[in-house]
Amino acid sequence: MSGNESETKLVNFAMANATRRKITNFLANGDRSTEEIGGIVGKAMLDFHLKILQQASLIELEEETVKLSEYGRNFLKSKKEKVAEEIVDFSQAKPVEIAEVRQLLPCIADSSKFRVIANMAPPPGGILKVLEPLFPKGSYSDRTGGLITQKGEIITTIYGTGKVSIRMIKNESEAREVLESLRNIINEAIAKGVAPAPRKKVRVELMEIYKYLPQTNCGKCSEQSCYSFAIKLMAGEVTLDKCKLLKEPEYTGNQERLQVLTEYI
Amino acid sequence: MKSVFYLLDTAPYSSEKAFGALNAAAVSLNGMNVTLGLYGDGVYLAAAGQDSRKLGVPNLADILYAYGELKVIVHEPSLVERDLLGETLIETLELTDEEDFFEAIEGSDCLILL
Amino acid sequence: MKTLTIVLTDGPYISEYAEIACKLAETALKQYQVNIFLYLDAVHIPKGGQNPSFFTNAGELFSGLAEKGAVIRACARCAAARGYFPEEEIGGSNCRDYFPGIKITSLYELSEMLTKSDRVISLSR
Repeated sequence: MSGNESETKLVNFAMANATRRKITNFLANGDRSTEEIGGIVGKAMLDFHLKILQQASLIELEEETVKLSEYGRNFLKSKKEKVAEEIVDFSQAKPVEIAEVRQLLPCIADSSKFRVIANMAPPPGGILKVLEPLFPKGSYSDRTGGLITQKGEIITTIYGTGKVSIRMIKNESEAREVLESLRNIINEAIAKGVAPAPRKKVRVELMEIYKYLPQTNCGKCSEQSCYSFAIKLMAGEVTLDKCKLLKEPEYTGNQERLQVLTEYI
Repeated sequence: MKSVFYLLDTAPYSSEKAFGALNAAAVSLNGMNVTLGLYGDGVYLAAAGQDSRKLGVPNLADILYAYGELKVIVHEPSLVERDLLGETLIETLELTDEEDFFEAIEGSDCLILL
Repeated sequence: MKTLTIVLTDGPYISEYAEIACKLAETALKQYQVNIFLYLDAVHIPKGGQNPSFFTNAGELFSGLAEKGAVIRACARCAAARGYFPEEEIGGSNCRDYFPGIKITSLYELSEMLTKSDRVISLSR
């Protein structure tokens, strides 16, 4: 591992924690005392978090004052410009191959179906986000670095590291078909060498969300009805886990569907 | 019980425990909020790039990818103690400090140690 | 009636957990419904024909619990790995190598037990 690479990993590690992201964002507006930071994120684990940020060279500690390092400042800035960089990267992207289908696991929502894990090489990495528009129902998650797509019942997630997970698969040959078409779509785009035009997000309709809710108006989510819960979901004011009924086994299928739908909101 | 916390503190592949915890957590997704907490040597399960083909056992990292809706939290101080700080970790995991880790345990209806 | 579920992962004698679980269950049974799920090495506990020199026979203890109304189930994957297979049900057990009253079921049974429980105790090393 080169020094540079291990440095990036330290930074990724440092930024993979919500408390530390809070600290760096707080510092972006100017130097702070440890006292002030403790007031925001709590004192119990403060030393631990500051040490990790310091090891990643993101911050500098002087006496009781904490400030973003030059490197940390550039890092936060570069994060905002990352999207533009990735599009430049796209012309360098290499065609992908499906290296292996690794295992079949039972599906939770429907025991007659399977989940499949496969490997894609080389790892698609940052180009995944750019590929999003290629899939009619595709959604890229910045948090996990994964691209979720859906076709009929089948839900596929591709991760930057090349892992591909497919849900609601009948058998291995169906999995191979899905993977084959995935590979072709991606490689066609790569062959063109131009990033696909960004599209507007898939519009999720209120009624579609409502359709999959239990529609019992049980009130356990402290909303008056499932319909008003759907409205709040659309507005991002509540999260799906507030609906207690969805956790009942009979609604597992609905919950899985809603999880995907809410990703698009 | 509406939620369950599975605590894993042994390394993957050394015993059946990690595999057992993953399976139990996966079946529990049916009807409960499930969190899998990696603690102590259990944090080795978080390492990316696992290859178990020569061992002839299932790839445990793949199971994590397959059940993406499973919430997996990793105890950071355990990672630091084992000098795993600079390692590439599986991207779907969440790193938590000591406080958040124990909050997650307390917030669950029951705790199952394997 | 409230329900207690105990999850075990240790085989008999290697630790005290089988015995502790038994004592807990025995007391709890006076007021509550008790489930015991045998996972990993714990699937050895109900094996028939045990003859420990210095300990109480764990299989007999658990069979006694089942007789008093405890629901005791063993994970099918763990059981098969260790040579116990489910067959036709005789005497409340579906495994010829097991004591009466203890059945081999799928792991999904664990999830069912947990969902319906008011308290869960796991004993594991």
